[in-house]
This record gives sequence, structure tokens and C-alpha cells, in this order.
Amino acid sequence: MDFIDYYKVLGIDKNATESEIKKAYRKLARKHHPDINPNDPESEKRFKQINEANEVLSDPEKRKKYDKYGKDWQHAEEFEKQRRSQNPGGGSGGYTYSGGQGADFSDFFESMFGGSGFSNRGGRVKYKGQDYNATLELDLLDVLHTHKRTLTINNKNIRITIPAGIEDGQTIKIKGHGGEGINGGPKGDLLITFSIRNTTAFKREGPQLYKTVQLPLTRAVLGGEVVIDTLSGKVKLNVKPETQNGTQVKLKGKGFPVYKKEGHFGDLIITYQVQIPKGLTDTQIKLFKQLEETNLN
Amino acid sequence: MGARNYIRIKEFCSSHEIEESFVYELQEFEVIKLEFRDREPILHLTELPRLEKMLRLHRELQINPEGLQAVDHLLKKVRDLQDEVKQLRNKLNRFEDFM
Repeated sequence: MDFIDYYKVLGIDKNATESEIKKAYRKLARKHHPDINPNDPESEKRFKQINEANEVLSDPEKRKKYDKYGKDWQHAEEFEKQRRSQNPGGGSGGYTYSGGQGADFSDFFESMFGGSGFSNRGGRVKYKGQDYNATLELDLLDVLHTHKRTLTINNKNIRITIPAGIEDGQTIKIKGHGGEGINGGPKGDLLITFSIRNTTAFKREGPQLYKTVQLPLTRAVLGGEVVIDTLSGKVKLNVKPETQNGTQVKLKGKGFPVYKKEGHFGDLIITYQVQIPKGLTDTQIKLFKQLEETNLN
Repeated sequence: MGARNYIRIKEFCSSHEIEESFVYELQEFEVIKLEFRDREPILHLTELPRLEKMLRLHRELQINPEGLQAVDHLLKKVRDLQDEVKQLRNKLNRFEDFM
């Protein structure tokens, strides 16, 4: 566990006044507030550090303890004993952040001040509990069908339904599975963001799938058949004579499931990539030369 | 009987200990949409997270309703741009085979 320099976190001097701390905190909180920086875990982390620094430095009692024992936090308990004997009533004043966000603390803070969370000297305001964020990694083929999965979040098992066709980066909200509310406020929500790995030969854009199929030159020129793999099995395609490189063919309903529309599927778009043959035999070269002489373009 | 899908503004303001005028100002600035039921202003539950977010920003960052309108507008732009970047990344990914 590392020492945290709360003065550095707020970018202030060790002798900063209460108003300078408040000003620095507000400036940084505006910049890094999670509601202002959606989908930015770095800002969320920074916001928590800023809150923690403010929680300590804006409370004269905590600041005193921190200044005295900060770097030597293991001996902070001695300070507590001393304080209790001198000031049995306790209590303190001053500005304190008392919002609903960011109410979790570093190990360093917990070891010095305990895990009681933010002080609440500003009145009995109800706040919704903290939203928990989780990332669930799945393979593309896992989200081909709607299925249920049990997740363990903070030692609690939650069974959730994962709808077919969920997108990479999509977040679903499970209401009431976040942190406890403050002062009787509602519980926070659990936000699960899906990270969908795609190791298939298909590229995905929503319910549309894309695949590139190599086409031998002779098949592209003369036409014929190719067999391709789709997510629902093999499909035989007729290739028209004189098929050009980059030609696209749409296979309706052979794409990915449409999110929350059971039985609806996108399309599979096949792009033909014509292969130029390599390692030609003398006979083949001769035949190509003959073709060239026919002024074939 | 189905669950109620709205919250009365009076209820919201009393449970969050906020003046009703704050909510009406947000409506004036078109940050939230209020509806009326039995002549009483209500908020649809789908709009609730939005109002809660605005309240957090108001309380925690001391942003007034005019500021919240600007923040709301800019956040929408950020979200749109994030979506666009994602779509473009996906598109780019498709052409990797040809590069």
C-alpha cells in the first residue's frame, strides 16, 4: 500500500488555506466528474482520488492527522488514542463533499481513517448508491443466441439474461444491484459493459456481417460455384461469369441476430476477392499469352 | 396491476429535498420533458436518470440550470462523436482485408 500525497492530488501547497482547498477541489471535480466524462474510467478514477483528498484536507481533524502521520500511517492509531483523551466529544466543521458519487476509498485512506465513508455534516440528504461498473468479455459466437449467465459481483451471484445480438461496447443496466443508498436513498445500479471478442472470419457491424471470399481467377471469369461458411452452416453460391474483383453479394437473413428482436437477422455481405494465380506452368503462361494476343482487356 | 411508470414532481423534489422550481427551470431549458397527469406535473421513469444526473451536477459541481443546459448539449455531442468513431472504426476494420 502506497502513501498518497493528497496535496499533490489537489495541486496545492501544504500550507493551503481552507478556501484554497475548496477552490482547487471544485476546479478538479468539474473537470473529472463522471457525469461530465461518460465512458472514461480514467476520469472516474481521478474523481475518486480528488474526493478522497478533499475529504481529508477539508476536515481539520483529518488533515491534522494526515499531516502528522501521513507518511507514517501505520502509527496513526496512536494519534487517535491521544485525540480521544484530549477531545472526547469529537466533531468538526468545514466544507465537505457529500455527493453520491465516488464514495469508495483507497486502502491508504481506509487504514488511516477507517471505512466509514464521507462525513455527512451537510444534512440528511438522500443519495442514490454508487453505480457499479463491470465488464463482461464474451466471444462473438456466445451472443449468437439469447442465454442466461450467472455473474458474481461483490460476492453476490446475479443471474442475467444476455440477449442475442448484443454489441461490443454496449452497456446494460441492472437496476438496484449497485452500492447501498446514502441516508436511505435508493441502491445504485449495476452497469455491465460487454466486450465482444471476434475471432471469426466475419466482420460485424450491428446485425450485418461481412466476409471476404477468395475467388480463383478462372471461376471469376467463367462462373461456377463456391461453397462458403455462414454462421448457420455451409451455403453454395453461384458465381456469375465475369465476376469482378470486389463484387458484393448479399445473403439475406444470414447475418447476426438483431438485438432484442427474436427471430430477426441481419444480412451477410460477401465480397469476392479475385486471386491472381501464382507459379504458372509453361503451358499456362502460353495460354495467357494467347489470351493477350486476342486483345483481351 | 402494473407498476407505475412515472414519478410526481412533488414526490421527486421532496425525496431529494430540492425546490420544485429547479425541475421547472430544467424543463424550460428543454433539458428534461415533463408530462401532466390529472393536472399534476409528472416525470416519466425513462427521464428519471437524466434528471438525477442533472441534480448531481447541480449539487456536486454547483452548476446552475443555464450551465446544465450547456453541459447536456455538449454531452450529447460527445456521445454522438463516440458513436461515430466506433462506427468508423468498424468500417475501417472491414477494409483491413484489402490493405
